[in-house]
Amino acid sequence: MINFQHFLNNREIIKKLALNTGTTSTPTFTEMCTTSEVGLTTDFEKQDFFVFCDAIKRSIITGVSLAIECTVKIDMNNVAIQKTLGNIHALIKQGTVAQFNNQLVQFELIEAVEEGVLTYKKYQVPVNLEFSDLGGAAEDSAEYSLVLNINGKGEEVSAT
Amino acid sequence: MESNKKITKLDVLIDYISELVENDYIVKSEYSTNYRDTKVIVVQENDGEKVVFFGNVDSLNDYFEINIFSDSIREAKNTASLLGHLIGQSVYRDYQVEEENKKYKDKWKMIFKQYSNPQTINYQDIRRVSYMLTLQCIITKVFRKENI
Repeated sequence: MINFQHFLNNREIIKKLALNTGTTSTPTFTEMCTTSEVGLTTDFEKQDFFVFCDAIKRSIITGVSLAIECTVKIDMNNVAIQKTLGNIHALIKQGTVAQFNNQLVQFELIEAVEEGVLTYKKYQVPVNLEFSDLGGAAEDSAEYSLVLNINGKGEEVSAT
Repeated sequence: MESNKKITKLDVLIDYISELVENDYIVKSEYSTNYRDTKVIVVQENDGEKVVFFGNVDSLNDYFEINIFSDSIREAKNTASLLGHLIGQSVYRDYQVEEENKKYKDKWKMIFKQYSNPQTINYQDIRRVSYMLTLQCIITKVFRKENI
């Protein structure tokens, strides 16, 4: 068995990003932004320290902030996108922000490759939705930026 | 697909395109004026910017010029659009090959990155109308397993 270089395109890193669009306590996930790039960014926080009689700096990682970033093309037939816009309506009308906090999202992250076939793990994680640049970024195609700040430990759903 | 000869990137692409057009066209790497071949797709490697790595790795991008010859301009244009839809896709292909009396199962991957918009090209001969486009792709063999 020989493995060669196995390059991926950017749609194969995170797949099937979906928001919870259920209106009951049972989540219903609707996929979105399948046409734009989805990236997972990390921001490591570290603490620096020096030890006695030694001028070389040490540091340890003390925490990580994780976020999924994407640009969403506005597809008005997509329920997940309607729901995100609905959150903005609620903000304007009721002045509330709770709808942006601790929302459940689901996505598949690339894990490994077995005999040339890519394998993914599916997660459900709580996130805070940061919504920006509605209609502002592009002149002729409606889109918005969405940053999903992961807000706690996720749960593996099932391997696909 | 089974093959006794070494498979190249061009073979993989030609094989995939023939499957896409459902053998409606003859797909080959050189233009010829056989009398009956009115519907022909010619796939040839073209020049373009390549990304080179450090280390023993092939350069990343390949460019293939695809000329579509057909009976009508609409038919050629539609086929050009069909191939244009490949952009952003990645495709795996499996092959059984025999090299030095050993059988192997190979897996190839194609990532289609960009393409130039299809445009008409000059008549190669009076009976054919044609469209041309260029696909930028990454074609690599990703996996090989010896058959037992």
